[in-house]
Amino acid sequence: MKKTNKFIKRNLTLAALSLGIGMTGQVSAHDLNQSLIGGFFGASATDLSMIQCFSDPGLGGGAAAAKLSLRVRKSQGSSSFLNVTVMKDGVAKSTVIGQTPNVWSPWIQVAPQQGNGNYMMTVSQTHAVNSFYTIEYHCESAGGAHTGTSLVTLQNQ
Amino acid sequence: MATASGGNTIVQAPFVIRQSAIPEAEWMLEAEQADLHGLLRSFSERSGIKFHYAALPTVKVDATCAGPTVITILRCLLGAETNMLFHYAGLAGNDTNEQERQPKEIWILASSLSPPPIASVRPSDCGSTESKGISRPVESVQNELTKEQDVDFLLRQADSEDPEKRMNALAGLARLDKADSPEVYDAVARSISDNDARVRGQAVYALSQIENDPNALNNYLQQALQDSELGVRLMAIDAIESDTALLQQALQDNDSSVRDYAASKLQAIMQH
Repeated sequence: MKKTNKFIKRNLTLAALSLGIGMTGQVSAHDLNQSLIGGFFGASATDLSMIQCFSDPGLGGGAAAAKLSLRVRKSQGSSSFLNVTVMKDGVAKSTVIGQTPNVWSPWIQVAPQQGNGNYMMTVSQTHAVNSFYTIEYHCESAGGAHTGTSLVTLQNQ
Repeated sequence: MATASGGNTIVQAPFVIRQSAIPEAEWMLEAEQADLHGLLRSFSERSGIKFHYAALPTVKVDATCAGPTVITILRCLLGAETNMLFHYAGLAGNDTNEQERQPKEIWILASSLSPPPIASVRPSDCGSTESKGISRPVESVQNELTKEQDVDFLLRQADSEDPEKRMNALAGLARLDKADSPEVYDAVARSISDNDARVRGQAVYALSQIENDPNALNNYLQQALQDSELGVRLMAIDAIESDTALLQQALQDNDSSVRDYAASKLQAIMQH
């Protein structure tokens, strides 16, 4: 995929989903489909991404983000547990999923002092196997509206 | 009144100011807990425009700004409501756009600067304020690896005899916005044929980040999809975002994990 001078690897994609977290009607979500190749890079293989939350005049009336919401599932079963950790400004949340594919983790929400900005996300696992996962993520205002969201991959293993 | 003028001083601060060739984003500024005075001083030096201002809020600024002109960046950084005066030199006519691109001096009227929202001030740190400069994300990540000496270090590491170092160097080069650097490109491109599979895998990822020519990238990914190592083929699929032809090719792989991963990515593409 052509990158030119742009570092954002993942385009913002929109899908009509029901998130089941108190939101009604159509919502926008972003997703990341990636692999963690433990069989190649070992059990310490880690994917590292930065999710940027920002005020977008076209979303939520340009409100600032208050938090990042995220959940993960495996797209294929593997013998490893998968851990996803998100952190910003000293606030961190994690979720772990097991071996069964296509089962979403609970939503985790990171709500730091300043919602706009860069959230660091790591994905790691317990075994040196290949895992394939999908992460659904979006930034939200204090009122629950989606705000500007983008993702940059910093390390891919 | 404090005046910051152009000069050769390089100010070390938690912010980066860049110019790029991206239309409508010729100027980019990213700051994290940066002193506003230092930031403006460096911006003045970089732009060659004299900034004049009296008192500034003694706050730390978080901002991510991108725009076509210095004035756009200032409005992003200080707030759209900030009043400024401009001195243009050597211009004729009343073309506002042309004038906005060529001020010689800018006076920032501090009385018009917005005070920080009270709710965002942490009781134990009165130097903090709500970020009000973020309007849209900067499209490249700036960190200390953009210093030329670090790029040279990564290029040397990319030739190391230790495959672990070569692999880490490629991961670092992938993060740099150095798509126009022949040295970086060559280091990454030749690593696609490295004798260590992990290095080849990271080369695939790095190429996906820096290769500007979609046809060239397609060729590299096709080569990677034929690699004998499963991990390299999986990294190639990782790098495919919307090329359904390549994913269809991967459906023929002799490893089920490759086929299944390609199928899941195809399904995701079809759903969007």
